[in-house]
Amino acid sequence: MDIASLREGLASALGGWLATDANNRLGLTTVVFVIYYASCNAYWIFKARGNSPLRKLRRIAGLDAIDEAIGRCTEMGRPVLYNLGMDGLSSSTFASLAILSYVAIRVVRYDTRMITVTRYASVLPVAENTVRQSYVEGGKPDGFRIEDVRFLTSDQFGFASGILGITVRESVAANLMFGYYYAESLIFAEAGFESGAIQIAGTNNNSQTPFFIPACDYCLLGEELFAASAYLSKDRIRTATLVAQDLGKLFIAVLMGLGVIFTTFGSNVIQNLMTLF
Amino acid sequence: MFDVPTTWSAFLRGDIGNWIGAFLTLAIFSILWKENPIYRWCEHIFVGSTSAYSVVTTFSSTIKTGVQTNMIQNGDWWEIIPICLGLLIYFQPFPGYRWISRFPTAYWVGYNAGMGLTIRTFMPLLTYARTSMLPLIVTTNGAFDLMASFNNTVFVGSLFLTLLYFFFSFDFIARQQWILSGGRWIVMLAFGASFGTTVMSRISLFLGRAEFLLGDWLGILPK
Repeated sequence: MDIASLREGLASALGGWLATDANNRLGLTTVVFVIYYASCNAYWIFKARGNSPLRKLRRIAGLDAIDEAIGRCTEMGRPVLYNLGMDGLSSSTFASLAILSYVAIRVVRYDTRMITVTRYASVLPVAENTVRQSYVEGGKPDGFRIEDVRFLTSDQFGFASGILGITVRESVAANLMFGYYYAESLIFAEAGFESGAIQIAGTNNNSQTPFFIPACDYCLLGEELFAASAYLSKDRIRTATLVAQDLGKLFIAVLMGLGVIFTTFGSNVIQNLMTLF
Repeated sequence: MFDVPTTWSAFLRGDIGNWIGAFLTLAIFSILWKENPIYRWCEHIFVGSTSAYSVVTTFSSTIKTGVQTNMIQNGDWWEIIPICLGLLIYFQPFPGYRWISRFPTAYWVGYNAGMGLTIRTFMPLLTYARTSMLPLIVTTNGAFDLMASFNNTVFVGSLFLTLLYFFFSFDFIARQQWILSGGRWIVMLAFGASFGTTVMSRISLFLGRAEFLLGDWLGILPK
């Protein structure tokens, strides 16, 4: 059976189920990948609920330094500034909220002040609840100061200007920036540098990471931001999802490897199989 | 000394507007010297005015359109449901009723998490994977093409090293320092190139302000 008739047969069989178009025939591959990825997640989460050992995670220096940064604030009696990034409730903000939860627990334990800032009003209640919960869990519910979780403005450079002022005025000793950042990233990092803060940043916007690297003490690269919650909490379920994520990447890597080998030898069989429907 | 403006917008566009704009620009730049009361004053104006502006634009483009156009004119009265859901957020300041404000937040968090899991998230990933399957040996018109082969080999090698760097739970990779440092080098080279390109665009932003100060305000630059 040739590739054209195979495609035709699949189109008539699956046409009503999978929306795809002639230019981007990845519908079937996507479904196969989603099923594989979901199965990996389900298997590892099931395994994590038992007592069998999970895989160890490799060291991420930027995340190890968070405790050091909070400890420094405690010694100096100066606050931590936690910046949730410039996005609304996106995947990067969820990752940042998970780190916020970890940082807030440490801050409560060491009795250090933390100022949390967000650009979006929709993120504010989530951030408030995250920090408040950490104070409750830390046994110091009265220590939570609602005025330390701040929404300034949704305007990009208005927000940047406000953060710049807070960083310098409050003389923060640790500047933690995790989330999605745009052109203002260097303004935040420079302000933290000027105030002598230890700076740790992580963003999944690859065009802004180059600005964090020279200005910060530690910088998470790309996907390390999303590995942070599992790495910091050492929670078995979160670690399981990270292992599943790695298996998803392995699938793509193997697929690409095969594609490169076959293409080098003049065969497009992998590309054709990927674009059946 | 000044042209007398007849309307508010003419006032802001004229000489007086230029003076105000120049003062605010220089006041914001004064943070480069140190934090000072003038910067603080301008920062608060900036934050306050942009916040107020976003309230007005949200009202006119979202709430007004939703109520006036969609509900009253088009009869889409079901939009009252998200409006009511959104209003629940205002229970936040009342400790006894704060739990009610969690409903819209939970809905919003769930909506965004769900959107992140749709098939549209995976589709670009597979598109990139497919277009990355390049031949390592390229022939052009039947002859071996050295440059194209070299380019493809560098691309594929960099791609795999970078991909391996972002594996977190594979002991085998974590033990191979050459993979981690190789991946890191590739990523850093890419970031360096990106840094240079972006700095050029940042300079153009500064040039815009410098043009305003030297041209519109001081009139030193020829028109």
